Amino acid sequence: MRKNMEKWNLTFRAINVLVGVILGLSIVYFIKEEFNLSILLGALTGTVILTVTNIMKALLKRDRTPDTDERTEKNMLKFYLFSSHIFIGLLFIALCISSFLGIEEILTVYLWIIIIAYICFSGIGAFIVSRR
Amino acid sequence: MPVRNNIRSIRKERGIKQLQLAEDLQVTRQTLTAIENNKYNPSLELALKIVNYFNLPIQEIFILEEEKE
Repeated sequence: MRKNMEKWNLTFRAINVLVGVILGLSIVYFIKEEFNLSILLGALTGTVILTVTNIMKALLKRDRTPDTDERTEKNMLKFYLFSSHIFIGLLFIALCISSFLGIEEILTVYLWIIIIAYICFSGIGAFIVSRR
Repeated sequence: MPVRNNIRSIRKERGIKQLQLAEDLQVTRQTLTAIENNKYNPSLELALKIVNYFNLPIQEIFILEEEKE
């Protein structure tokens, strides 16, 4: 049964993210009495896309081989190790440059962009590495 | 790599397709290709599964080569 449920991992993760977003929005609503519909719609769109992708993947898969095994998991771990170290190195260099240039304030929106970009690139990279 | 294996030759002798072996061992086809090409050494668990699958002594499947100094 566990093997049968494994092929729905992507959908399960997407639903978890949606639940997390709803939880976060609820907390913000109770504290600040603000509700941002665009965040919910974005999460819902992502969930639908991932679910449809999972369904297509499950229907198209003809063999009984697993999606990941010991080698692909090792490759992904290695990738995450290198990418996180490179990210910290690049951040350090950026911090040195900004300190040298005398920049004393950085808008948090730029920091968010950097973090989200890292998450996207590391996610896509790990997916590519797991398929090799 | 100091570890070689004869998995491909044994598999072909027995007429087993790579995909079938991958399904039976529950590994991806890419992993099996990497193992057969000596690009990846399987874990102990996977190596023992392979030994049990072919029902051969381990030294007939995996060979440790002497490292050249």
